[in-house]
Amino acid sequence: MKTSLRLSPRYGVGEPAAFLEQSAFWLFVATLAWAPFPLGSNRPWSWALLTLLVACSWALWCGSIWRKPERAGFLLDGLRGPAILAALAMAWAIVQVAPFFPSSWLNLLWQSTAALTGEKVASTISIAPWRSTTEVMKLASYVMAAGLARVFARSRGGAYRLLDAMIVIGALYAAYAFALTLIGQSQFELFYGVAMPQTVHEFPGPFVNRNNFATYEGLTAICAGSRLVAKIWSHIDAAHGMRVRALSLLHYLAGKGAVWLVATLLAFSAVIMTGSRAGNLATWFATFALLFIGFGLVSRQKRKGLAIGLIACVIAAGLGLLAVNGATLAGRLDDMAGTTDTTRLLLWDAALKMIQHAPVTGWGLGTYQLVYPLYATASMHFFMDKAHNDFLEFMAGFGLPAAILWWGALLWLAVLCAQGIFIRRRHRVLPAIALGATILVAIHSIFDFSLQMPAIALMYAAILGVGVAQAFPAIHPLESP
Amino acid sequence: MSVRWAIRVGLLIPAAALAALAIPRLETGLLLEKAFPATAYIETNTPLPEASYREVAHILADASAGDPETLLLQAEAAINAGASPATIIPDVKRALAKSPSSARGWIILASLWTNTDPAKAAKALTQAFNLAPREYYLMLPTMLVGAPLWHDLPDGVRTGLISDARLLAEDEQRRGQLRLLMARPAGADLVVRAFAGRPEALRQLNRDLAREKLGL
Repeated sequence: MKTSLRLSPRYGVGEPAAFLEQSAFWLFVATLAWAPFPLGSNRPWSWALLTLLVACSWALWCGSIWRKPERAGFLLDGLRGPAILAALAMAWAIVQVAPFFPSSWLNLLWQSTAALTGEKVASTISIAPWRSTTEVMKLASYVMAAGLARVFARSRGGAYRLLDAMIVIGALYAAYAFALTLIGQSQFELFYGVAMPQTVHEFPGPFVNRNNFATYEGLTAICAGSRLVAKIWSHIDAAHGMRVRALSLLHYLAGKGAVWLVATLLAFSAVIMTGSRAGNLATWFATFALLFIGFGLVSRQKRKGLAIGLIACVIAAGLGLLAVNGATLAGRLDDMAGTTDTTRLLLWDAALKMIQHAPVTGWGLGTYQLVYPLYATASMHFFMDKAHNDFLEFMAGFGLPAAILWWGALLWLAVLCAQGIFIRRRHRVLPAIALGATILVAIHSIFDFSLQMPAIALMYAAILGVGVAQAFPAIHPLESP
Repeated sequence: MSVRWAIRVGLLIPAAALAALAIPRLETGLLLEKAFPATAYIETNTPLPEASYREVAHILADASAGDPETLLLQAEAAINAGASPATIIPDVKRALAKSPSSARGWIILASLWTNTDPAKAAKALTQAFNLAPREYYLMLPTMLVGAPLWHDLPDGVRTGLISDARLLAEDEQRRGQLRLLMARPAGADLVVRAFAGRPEALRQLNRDLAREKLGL
């Protein structure tokens, strides 16, 4: 990694601006490092703290451009479309919790509550405005995080610095998960002193749920693996002859590339060790999607043979990792064939009914747990607080129009990243990582709720911000090395 | 000049808004963390010593007034700690006015109104039942509060209570909850109604309970 202090083109003037920008960057990195530790930041105090840290980082960056605030205009360059879609969706999120609708327009529950209690009711579209406001707060913090990542990644050096930080953080958490398993502890027990022996062997890392940790490490694996493969390619492509290429590869992997190799192996191992079926499906699918895209790119450059060799090595390494770490995953795949667990189907069915009954307005972000009992068809021995399908749950809470606007914004950004892979001549690995991360979280969201874990959403927002920042051809002279 | 200030303010407003939203949530979240795991035990109807309820009620008394679910949790802890219903009813009503879909909140309100206004208590319990007719962790509280309100409840709720009482009686894992129900006013009557037309099953249940009590 280069040690230059310059993250991105200077907006402000003089040392204070540079200091503030540096502080904003390192606070952001520290936030990314902290986020998974308190059980994925999925507790009221920890997601509120995360929001505060992101807001502080943003405020520091605002301080860095205080003297020339017009420099912030670059934030929307090439992004006006998705920005408008996201802004409209966020505006609807605010309307959902605004108390200015007459009770007769809204859910009958407000009227009956007013009649029974004699109290003045909140009268919002959301049936739980405090919860919905909390979700709006979280969404806004993720947008802010993506904006910060775009700021810091505006230069190539800054982009790699932020990406490398996320890779190192993810790899360290993978190592931490192995350490916890070795000592027979779970993060939950460390926090609360309540033993949960059944979760220790599920390999949840700093999270409570193994599926969430699989997504987190899947994102790390995509980042680290893509970085590694891109670096390997640049080394072997520059060499001539099989023997020289092999030596060049070994020299790289034993030297500068060791960090990325270890990070990649740790992250992929962690994903496999969780035994999460959907997590593995999402990670491996995203990985092979990126390999396929990469193969398509090098085919145009008539390097097919070399590419096939590299892909074969990646597949062999993956199979090796599965052989070493895949016992739990194999067991869970076997279980899947024999089980008749219909819990997810019940949850999805309830979500579909919620959407059917409030398709336009939604019930309010974050209200699934409160609305589910209305549509439950069986009594289950759990708190059914998530639909295990982020798409359905989001539509049920947000309403279809707003959900489409939000996903439209994300899809637009993903398409920009995909375009960037083909438009950029160098450093296309950065938008490729963002595309791979989007594929991963989209697939996992069909079966689970990983994006509702603030630590994972924050990491994804940062990756997307980096990818979008580097999806456009370099035009600023300060972006050159 | 004014454009620059507009940009500065426009960039800072989101951060300020997020901070304004996050700070009360951080404060309440830290209080909830302090009260954990007692709060989880309350939500799963696990009996605690009175001192634990008192401590939870004391900790959560400083929670944000805007968070209705924490207010309801605090109210439930206070009730179990022996607080007077008259002091808790206004808080519960205010919390429900902000989060009317909380079935547990309606059960709490029903329990507070039972002695002073059974008709209103029955309406509140009916609201809870309609919101969550099959919620596992609300079955016991619904039966405990519903048993003494039997004569004021509509037929639909009565049918639900009988069905839940039967399920409870037939589940050997939940014998402790069954004993709790039978020890409450009209609780035993509810169990008897659940076995209407099945006298032998009721006698068997009695024998099982007696044997368990004697450790046989």
